Amino acid sequence: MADASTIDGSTAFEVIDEPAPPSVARQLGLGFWLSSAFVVLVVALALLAPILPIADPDQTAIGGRLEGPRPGLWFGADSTGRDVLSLTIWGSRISLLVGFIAIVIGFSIGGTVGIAAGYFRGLFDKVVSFIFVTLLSFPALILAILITTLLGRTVLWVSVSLGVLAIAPVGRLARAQTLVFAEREFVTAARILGASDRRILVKELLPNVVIPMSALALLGMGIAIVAEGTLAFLAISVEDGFSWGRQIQDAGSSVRDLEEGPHAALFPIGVLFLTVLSLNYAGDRIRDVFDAKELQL
Amino acid sequence: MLKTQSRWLAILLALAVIATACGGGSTDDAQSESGDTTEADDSSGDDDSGGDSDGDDSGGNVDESADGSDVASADDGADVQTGGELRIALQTEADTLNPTNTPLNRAPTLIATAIFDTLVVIDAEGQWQNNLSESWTPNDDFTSWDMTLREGITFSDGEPFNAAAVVATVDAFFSDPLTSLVFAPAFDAETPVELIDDLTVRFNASTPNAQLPTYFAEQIGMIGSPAWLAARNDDPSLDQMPIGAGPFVIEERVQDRSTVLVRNENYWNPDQAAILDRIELFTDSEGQADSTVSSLLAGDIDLLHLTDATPILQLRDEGDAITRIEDQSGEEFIMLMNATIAPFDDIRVREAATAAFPQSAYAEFITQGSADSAQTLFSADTPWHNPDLVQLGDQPELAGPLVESYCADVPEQCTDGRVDIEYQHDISDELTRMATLVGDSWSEFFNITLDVVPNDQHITQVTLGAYDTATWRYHGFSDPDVDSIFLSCNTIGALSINFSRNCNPERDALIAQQRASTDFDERYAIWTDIQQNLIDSFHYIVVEHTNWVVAADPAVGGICDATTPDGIALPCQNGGVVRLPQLFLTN
Amino acid sequence: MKFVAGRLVQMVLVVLSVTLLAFAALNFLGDPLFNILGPIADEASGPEFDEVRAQARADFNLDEPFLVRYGLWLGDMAQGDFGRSFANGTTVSSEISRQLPVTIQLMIYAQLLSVLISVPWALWSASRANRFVDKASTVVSFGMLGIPVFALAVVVFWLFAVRFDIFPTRFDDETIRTRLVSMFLPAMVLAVPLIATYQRLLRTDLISTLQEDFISVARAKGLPRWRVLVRHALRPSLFSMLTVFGIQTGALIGGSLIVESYFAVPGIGAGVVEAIIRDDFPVVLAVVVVVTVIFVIVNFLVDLLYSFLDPRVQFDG
Repeated sequence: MADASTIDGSTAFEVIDEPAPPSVARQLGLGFWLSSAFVVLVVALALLAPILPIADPDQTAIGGRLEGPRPGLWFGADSTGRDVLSLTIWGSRISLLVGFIAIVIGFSIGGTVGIAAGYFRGLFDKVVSFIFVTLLSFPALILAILITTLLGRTVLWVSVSLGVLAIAPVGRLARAQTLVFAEREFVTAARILGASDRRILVKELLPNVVIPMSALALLGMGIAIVAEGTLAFLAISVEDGFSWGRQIQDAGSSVRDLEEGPHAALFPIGVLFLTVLSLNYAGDRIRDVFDAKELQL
Repeated sequence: MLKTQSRWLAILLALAVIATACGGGSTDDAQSESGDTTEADDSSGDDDSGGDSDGDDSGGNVDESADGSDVASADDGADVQTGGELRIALQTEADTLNPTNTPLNRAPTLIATAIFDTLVVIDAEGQWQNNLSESWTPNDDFTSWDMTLREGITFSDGEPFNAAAVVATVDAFFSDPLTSLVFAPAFDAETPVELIDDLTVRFNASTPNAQLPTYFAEQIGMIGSPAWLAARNDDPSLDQMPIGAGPFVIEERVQDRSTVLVRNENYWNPDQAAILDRIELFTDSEGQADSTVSSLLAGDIDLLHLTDATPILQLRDEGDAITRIEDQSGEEFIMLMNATIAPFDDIRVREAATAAFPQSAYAEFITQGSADSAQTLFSADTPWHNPDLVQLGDQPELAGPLVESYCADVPEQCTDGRVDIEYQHDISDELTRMATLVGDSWSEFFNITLDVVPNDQHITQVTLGAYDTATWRYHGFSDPDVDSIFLSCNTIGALSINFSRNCNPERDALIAQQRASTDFDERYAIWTDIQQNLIDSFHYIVVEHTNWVVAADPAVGGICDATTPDGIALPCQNGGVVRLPQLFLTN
Repeated sequence: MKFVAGRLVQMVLVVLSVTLLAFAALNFLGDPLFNILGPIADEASGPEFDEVRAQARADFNLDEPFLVRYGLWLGDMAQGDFGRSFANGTTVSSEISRQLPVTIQLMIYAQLLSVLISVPWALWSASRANRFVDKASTVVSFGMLGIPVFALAVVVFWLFAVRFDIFPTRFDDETIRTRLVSMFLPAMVLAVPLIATYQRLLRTDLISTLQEDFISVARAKGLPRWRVLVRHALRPSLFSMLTVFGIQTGALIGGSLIVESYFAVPGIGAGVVEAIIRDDFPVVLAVVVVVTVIFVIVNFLVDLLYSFLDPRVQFDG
């Protein structure tokens, strides 16, 4: 199992002299660093949107209807003359925020319940496993739709509904992981030495289960962003928020608009695709490098 | 079990004399506009000209044919082929085809006209003409009209078309809570209709009304077979299979999908019997208007009607490759402002919203030249158009001081110096774009909360007055007098047909005055005053004249061949309504 | 056979909990009367609607305790009575029976396309493991897995229906041929992630099978390479494709909402999206139930098939 500190690339091992295994940084590869850089860039632009020198995303008639890209209007204009670049940057805020909250919810609830089930076993485990099976029996999108329809289409509830979707898959993995580690020597040893459940869970299992699973968070974030985009594309996501999915739906749903100005749809699609790909790739690399087999992904 | 309740929702839905704007964009679909009551377009004729006497002098609306502007590649009249089958794509649907209990919007009006025909029609000059009626005779003060029917008309089920049948239909019409809402104010509450003899019926108006016959070019002039009307009381599903005296009979109908009409073999007037054997009309609820155009070009359908900007431009691009007829004399697209609740109860707020409305941006980004932007209720396609009347717009600088003074007086309606408002529209791409444009222009003066609701809720809420400002489309009647129901004080109530709930006694007086007049010039002058009154009271923002476009494969002939039984030419189309019997296919 | 019984019990339990959850959501989240009637549920909307409200309370048994209501509703469902659509009063069951076949056709179409494309592709890349073709394939399939279905739909539609006028922009069920042609793009969009999934799975499996002894023997016997691949390596590997088939059904259902809405294919996915937008709860509920039941049954059948094919499989359900 990888040491916790190595997750953070900056504190990666310095390998001296001997032709030992290559550094973690190198193992992760150039692709990993490129994708991470892209994700960092997207997140930074999202956070800095209010102070960036870009047009107000609500301002119409900056360009002509579906005007193509030109200097100063790098991504062109949309069907109401808004700046597509500015829309894409502002649109990332809801996409990323929803993705982030969803993953936090999924991992905190799914992870906790899964670990507890795997550790304590017994009836609790049976009930939890059944709930997971039930949740997984809902076609994911339908469940998200049901929740948002009934609770309201706000950032919070959209995030919650996507978070709920993440609970079962994350929980199952956490449970499986815990089952593996609960039988390990160091846990058995701790138990024999009379450590409390609480202490074993927090000190021994948590780092060994949660930290490797954090690679999953990157993958999960990508999935959540796509899911939010999907809801927005179907016009059932955050009601008055503008996210990538909404932007793509807005620009991509009429034959004539696509004919006149495909750029208004293709730019946000490109950025969304690269973001999701980067998250997936970074997550994959981390998983591959840090012991994929034990994670049973 | 859901039946009762869905019937009520249907009623509310229908209540829309109306229906929200800008046509069937992607998601909006079948129901989407099952609002629109209404009928034929403006371009009205003022008064009588038909059989009878009286004030025929009035004249008026000479040229200005109702078929409106643009006719591309009209049919060549060539080899008329008898028989054949036509496929027509319609923009919207109705819950039922029973005119006595469902407000029919444009598409179902097209179907219902083929099945029922109307007592009166509006001709190509915009004048009303006898159709199934033979004559109309008013009393001296125009408070009652005697209508005589033509002899020898029968319904397609063989029942005689007589005065009793007319009375039965009109009674059914006025006993329905919904349809009566629209026309009842114009008729005497006690005895709106009386049977005089076998072929004569007397209609009593609520006030002197020289325009009364034009009402019967609308839905209320569609007379159903008494046997069918009686049977439908026991079996409401018969609302889908109506029986009238028109040139076609209904063969099959799947609601929200398709309706099949076949030639009425018992048609009373052999000279004008249908040429085609069969017409399939369908509403493609999932489809997009622009892909409907593709179907026309691909030959999958023969004729369509629509109102959206994008497909209209697409059709224009095709030039002479298709037959295209445009008509802007019908409905208007409007921003309603609810005058009964804060903040739009204050004229300053209404004026500010109107002044800051982005008229030119709307024309550039939404309409894109597909229709004329509007200043008043009457487009240049109607005889009532007055180019001197101009509403505010594109002048945000006027809005600042108004909002400032309002917020000083009514701080609880304002936040940060801007008025808090809710902007309601129903779901469609075009309306979303409009909200983006308007939001951008208004954001300096208003804090806007968008309320995007499904079409039926939209209609319910607007009719109940549960909105601040909302998009709406209506005002499509053939005579402005009929349209005046939307402007009067007496149609404001729990459920309002005066949707913006703006009551103005001065305007009501003007409306009554023009109603009693038989002189076009006099009426025109009064309507100029009424329109000025609407502009000054900021009753609402008229955004755009709806452009109804009918397009057809060049093989379809006879679109402009329709006439009355007396041989008077009718418009090629009328707010998207094409008359079907004269259509034929060339080889 | 014990596991079959176990699995069946589990299946019933899952269906019961799914329906309970869906029904509870409709009843406990917000005011059920409002969920049914919309704004006129509010007494403030005026006495005109008292009758409507009373009728709706009676129709939906709103005065009964929750579990009784649930039981009544479930009973109706089991008899195929899904109620009536709020939007147009048609019976939900007739809507579903019209839409479902279209969706199923679309899914089968997508599955066929994905098998037809992924199998040869996997064979090709496995036979050239770790060479350029294989590495490029890995990159491509990674990209295919990453692209969101809705974004892919827009790109594909733009490219093949708008920019290059190869496919129609509109669903057309006039004849079988036009149906197949107009459903090609939607099916392809649905198939893309499947292709990538199957290709990756098969490729890994094939490579490990190729290292086993019996393959070496077959090869030593001088059989042509493609024959070895197809006859000896592919067959055992197809087996593992089956496992993901069930899981992929869920993804397909989600995907069908998107492609049906976008490409205007009149299936259950487009229907439910429209119902959601209109807050047409009877339709939404019915679709949730029907789709979940189908999903559960497909997974059950896959498990069953799997256990017949591989007796080692034990289920701890």
